[in-house]
Amino acid sequence: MLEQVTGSPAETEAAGEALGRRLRVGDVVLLQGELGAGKTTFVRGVARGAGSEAPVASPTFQLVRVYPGRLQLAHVDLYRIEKSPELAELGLDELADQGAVLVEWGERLEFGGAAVIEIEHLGGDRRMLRTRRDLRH
Amino acid sequence: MSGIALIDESGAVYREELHESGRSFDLPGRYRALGAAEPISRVGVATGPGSFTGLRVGVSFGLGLAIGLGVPIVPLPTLNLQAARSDQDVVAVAEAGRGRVYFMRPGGQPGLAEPHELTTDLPFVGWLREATRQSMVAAGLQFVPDAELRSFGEAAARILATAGEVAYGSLKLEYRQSFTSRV
Repeated sequence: MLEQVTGSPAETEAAGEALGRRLRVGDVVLLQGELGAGKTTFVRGVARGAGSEAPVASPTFQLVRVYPGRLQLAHVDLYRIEKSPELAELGLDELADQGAVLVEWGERLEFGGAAVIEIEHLGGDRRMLRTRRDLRH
Repeated sequence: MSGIALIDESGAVYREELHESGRSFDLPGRYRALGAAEPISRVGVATGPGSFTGLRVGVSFGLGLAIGLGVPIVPLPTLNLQAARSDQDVVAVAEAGRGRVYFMRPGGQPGLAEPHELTTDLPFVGWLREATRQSMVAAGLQFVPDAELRSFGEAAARILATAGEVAYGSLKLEYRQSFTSRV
């Protein structure tokens, strides 16, 4: 398990950007962490690393936002998902066929082969990024 | 794979079309091109397991047609449709993504498996991605040659001969799904 402490939002974004550069079509990344942990900040970096210039925002209400780039990045937020039929209505498999998928509140599903990254608020602007399972490649 | 067929009351296929690609398949246009000479009396739609967008497009169009014409809608489960293409005992398969397949043995329930988990006692029928098909062949599994199978329209006609209609709002779709929900 890889642990990395970041000291500012810019550093958290940079860690995301490093992940984004490695993403390939079919990759699924589950992000775990409380409200305010910095998941969306991390995703902003991932999108940049995936070559997207689209503005990143948490898709709490849209549930899915898709950013075009070097590869398509789907940004999914399961915060408002309460029942498994709602999960099925997101088309996650198809999004993973088309590009990479990043899931906030990823603890709400299990996806075989998905990477799992936990973000913890350490106080102030410091965050602990814990890679519980890395990308398969 | 996308398809549409027009079947007459006797169960004979009047016309049918299959397209490899889903995205370029103009469903309303292809429906008009079937040139139904008589009023449509029933609409059958594939209900999966299958791709999210493919199932939604097909079922949305089918429901719109059925509701607009005021005629029954009949669900055609994808694995039953594949099984109905053969007279012999076969295992019907459908693409499940990530190298896996949905399968159904004669008289059995649908299941999900990796190619190496399937048994070689019966031949297979189904539309799969080329890579998935090849990994099944590599696992020693055999497919019934297309030439020995009914067409998609003929298989649909066989199911329609006995299948019952459902209420417009109660069609249940089986999207292929690689994940397990924890909510």
